[in-house]
Amino acid sequence: MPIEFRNVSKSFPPKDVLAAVSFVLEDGGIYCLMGPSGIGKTTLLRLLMGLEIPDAGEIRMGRGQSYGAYKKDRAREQTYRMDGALIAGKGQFRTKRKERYAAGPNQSGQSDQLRISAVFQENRLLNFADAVQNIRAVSGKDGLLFAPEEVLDGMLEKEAWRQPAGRQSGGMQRRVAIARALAARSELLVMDEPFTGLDGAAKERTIRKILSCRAGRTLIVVTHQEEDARLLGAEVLRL
Amino acid sequence: MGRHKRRRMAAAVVLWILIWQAAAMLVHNRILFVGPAEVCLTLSRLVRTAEFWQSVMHSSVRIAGGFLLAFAAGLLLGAGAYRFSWLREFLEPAVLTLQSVPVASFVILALIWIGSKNLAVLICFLVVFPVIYRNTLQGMRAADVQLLEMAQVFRMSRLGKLRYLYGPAVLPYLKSASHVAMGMAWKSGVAAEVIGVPDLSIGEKLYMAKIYLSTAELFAWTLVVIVVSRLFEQAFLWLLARADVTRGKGGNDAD
Repeated sequence: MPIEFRNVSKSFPPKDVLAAVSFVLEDGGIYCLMGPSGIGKTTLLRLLMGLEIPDAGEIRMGRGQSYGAYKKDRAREQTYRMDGALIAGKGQFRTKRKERYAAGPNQSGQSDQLRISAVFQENRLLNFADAVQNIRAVSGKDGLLFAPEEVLDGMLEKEAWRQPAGRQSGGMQRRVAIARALAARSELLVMDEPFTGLDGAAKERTIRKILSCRAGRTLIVVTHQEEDARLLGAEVLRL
Repeated sequence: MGRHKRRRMAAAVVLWILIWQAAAMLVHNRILFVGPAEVCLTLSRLVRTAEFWQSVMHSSVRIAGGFLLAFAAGLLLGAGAYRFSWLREFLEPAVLTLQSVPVASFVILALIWIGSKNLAVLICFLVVFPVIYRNTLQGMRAADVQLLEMAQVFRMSRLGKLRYLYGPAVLPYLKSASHVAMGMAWKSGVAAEVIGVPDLSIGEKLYMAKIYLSTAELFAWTLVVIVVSRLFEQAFLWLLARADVTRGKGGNDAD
């Protein structure tokens, strides 16, 4: 089930962040999203994750699941609400998922929707929990795709596995965040600048791990470096 | 607190006790004022009676019971109010009322409704509930937005979110709220008993001290209330700390 963006627009007034963006992510493909800072890469990923809804256009995610600006008024209203919420730091996640994925023939709830695991721009770890616990925390009813130890092995020094994330260095935290995304059961992996804070050797090891634990899932990575795209063997999408 | 600081603090306390004793000797009137020696003597006489322990038990059970009920209700309704704005809007006037009406008015009303025996349970509940409710609500709101988004994307279960995101956010609020609320529960609980005078309760003993102008007993029972309420507070905070998954590992704020 390819993922398709059709003329997707998104603005955070007064700024138009994305204007009529269209592209297709093929099933199992690896993509690098590139472009200058502030062009809307993170916004695009947030749309993909359902954390924002488009002002116009449509996002199709196979199995009839799609969302977009059908209910344009409602979408606008929510955009403003979410925008305000972002500043207020609350309420954003309150818009129900059902509303976000409004319309589309399939409204039968979460289980049929595309499952996503993500590395956000920030690490977003549970600071009190260690690496293994952080990964276990996102385990669903059907468990994890990979055991925590399996993903962490070769990516993070064993001594750091049992350290609370809050006491780890930025680079360690980054790798735990990546391991968490890889270990969770999903069909789409979304990574927003996953290699920030990783030096050359650590980055290469991490990329190898990503490729070996990708397990055929579609992968989209935001990066600033052409080299990353080459190492990942990714198709480059430019914004 | 450093060792040095603690020593100075202890010295200050000893000094005040000496001043207290000196003042009592100066006043030299057992109805107007009693010194620490007299209070200790009275207390040691009291603790040898069965009635003392029965009274302490009676009041402790009711005050702690009212506190626990209010804690559970405040937690539940606080979480509910976070989730459903209609519930929050519905409860707001009631909570505001609870916070503004003088405890004495509630005591009189409760005396008419349920009599004096379990008066302290109801009064403690009414005093503690708003504190726990508000702090739970605030704590839930303090949960990290970025982590909540993470949980949404990974489809973390409701239980997982409670355990990993909301729990750690609410606990610090609950700790400070419990500290305050336990003190309030004892103060208002005993005050209610003084008005209602249930048999064999701390409040009844305080009331008797007034009738017989026994200032020494008043002081002794006051001391008992302070000590017992501190004990309960410490025990409860210890329990709360056991429930804290972030124990000794720092908070949960995203970087």
